[in-house]
Amino acid sequence: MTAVLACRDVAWRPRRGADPIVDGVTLELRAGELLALAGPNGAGKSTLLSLLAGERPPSDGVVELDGMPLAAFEPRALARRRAVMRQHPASPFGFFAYEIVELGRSPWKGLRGRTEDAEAIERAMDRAQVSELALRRASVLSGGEQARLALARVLAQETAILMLDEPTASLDPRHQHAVLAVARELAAEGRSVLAVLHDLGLAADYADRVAVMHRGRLASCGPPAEALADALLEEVYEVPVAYLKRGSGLRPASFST
Amino acid sequence: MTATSVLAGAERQVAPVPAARRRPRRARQLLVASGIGILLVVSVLLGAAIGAVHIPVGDVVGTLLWKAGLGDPPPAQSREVLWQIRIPRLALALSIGAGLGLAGALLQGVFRNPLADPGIIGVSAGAAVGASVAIVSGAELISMAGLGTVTLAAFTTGVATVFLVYGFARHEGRTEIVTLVLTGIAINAMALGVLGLMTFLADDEELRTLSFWTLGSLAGATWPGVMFAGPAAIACCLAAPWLARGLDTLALGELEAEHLGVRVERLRVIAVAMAALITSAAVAVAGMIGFVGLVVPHLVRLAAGPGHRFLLPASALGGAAITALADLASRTLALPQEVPLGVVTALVGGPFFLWLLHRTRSEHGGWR
Repeated sequence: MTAVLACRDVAWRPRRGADPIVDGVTLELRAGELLALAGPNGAGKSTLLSLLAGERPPSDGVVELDGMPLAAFEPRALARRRAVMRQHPASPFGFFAYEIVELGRSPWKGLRGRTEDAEAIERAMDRAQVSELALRRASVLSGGEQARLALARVLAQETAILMLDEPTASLDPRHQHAVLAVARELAAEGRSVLAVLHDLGLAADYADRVAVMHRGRLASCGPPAEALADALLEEVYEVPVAYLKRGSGLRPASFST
Repeated sequence: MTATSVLAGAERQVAPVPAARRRPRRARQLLVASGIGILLVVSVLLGAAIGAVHIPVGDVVGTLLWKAGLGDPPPAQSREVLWQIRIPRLALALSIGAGLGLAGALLQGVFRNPLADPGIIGVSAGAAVGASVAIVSGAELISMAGLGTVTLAAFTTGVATVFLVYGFARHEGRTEIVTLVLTGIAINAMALGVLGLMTFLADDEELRTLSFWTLGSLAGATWPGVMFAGPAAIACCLAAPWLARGLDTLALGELEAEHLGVRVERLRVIAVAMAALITSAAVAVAGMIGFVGLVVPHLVRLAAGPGHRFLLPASALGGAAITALADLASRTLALPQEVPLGVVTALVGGPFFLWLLHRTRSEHGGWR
């Protein structure tokens, strides 16, 4: 499988000479896979995601998209290639839910027809299960609804790469599974999804590969069974292995890719 | 529910998009647009007709047509009053109002803050420094291209203050909004200090000029003044729609906007520069006029939604209409005296803004 997004030896320090938050990580995201990024609080997951998203340049190392350095991309072209959903997405005051999702189409503005945009929005809202919220005020939705709305906005971008920072964080179990089922579908379509997941059970159930971060470094990376080995998790999470739930074994039907 | 049955839902066919969902605000926007249009026409006709000398609306239309090269010349007296006094004043009110409304909408959008108005980046206070120094130093007697030194000095220091505030708040190519707002507060306080010092140094005659200037008035409207403030406002109004998409995505957050392909810092520089230009020009010719830039965009947002493609032009046109009506009130309420325009906008705009806050709080749970 080909790598669509890759970083080599990236590090990030808040200041020159400070301790690195991300410390020499090499990782690739391949076409058609769901890669979960796990690890305890403060391991550097979100920072790594922000480097891969191009929010800030790494202190060391390079991030490449389609084999080219991230900085070489024009912002709107980049936004048509990859979408990013950050933690705790906020819904601004006054917008209808539909209008929030519509904003996800803005990188395509003028490039696709109006009907095509409307269809993309509809598809995205349907997938994220927010269609019935379309004409509600976004700012009064519940936390879980806002999270799904943010997912719909990112889906409406129709990019080959999606980066999701804790997409299941404020969701109930049903919607957690629904969101990851969507991520699996996207992977089955040949897209690539990188998701930060705190729940190792979900990671084991849904991800093709899991990368576990520990103190800014990659502790393991591979298929769930390998990457989430007992001894490794006990060392990384510093809790007895019995505390760590690793999958229901109930794998979604479409999993065989 | 098992994961398998959750997945099954995704096989659903995409239903055709109902037209109402695609354009949820069409009807409201149409209504608001026609309301503003009617208000504009009414404000122009009344503004031209009413005053110390009453001029029939027919003569107003006649003069406008005649100036456009159509129809017969209207009576000379009407023509003269209109062309020398009322119409330049009206044109100035419209362009200043449009400028202030647009600047308010731009700044509220770019700072993602409903409290933003042209004052926040120090334009008004900065312009006041230039104006007060010019008045007290006696330099107002000199004029250039029909514009007084006060106007030119106010414009220059207004723009310069924005550069100062913005330059100070900028760090490593980015702007921290809270730093910017606090910088604006500090610079505002310093500017008001200078204004106070000039008030202290001024003699009686200068003091009168100074206080009229800070209260805001269009009494000194002339064609050169219109030519100064008008083009800036028109140019920015025409350029504003290009910023709409960026401002909409910015509502989601700075990083979110960047992820959607918006160059946030560039957008911010352009929007602030536009707001600085039009507000400085407006304040320079008419003094300090508050609340138009704050209230009008809020009102439009409440009535027709936060999308900037509608909000920006509607705020400009709404600001124009409201300023023209406020100026009409300012010069007719206490004939033959004039109530300063800034006083009218503050006395009407303040309570109106309170009502707006109250309404928003009870309907949407307030601003967050």
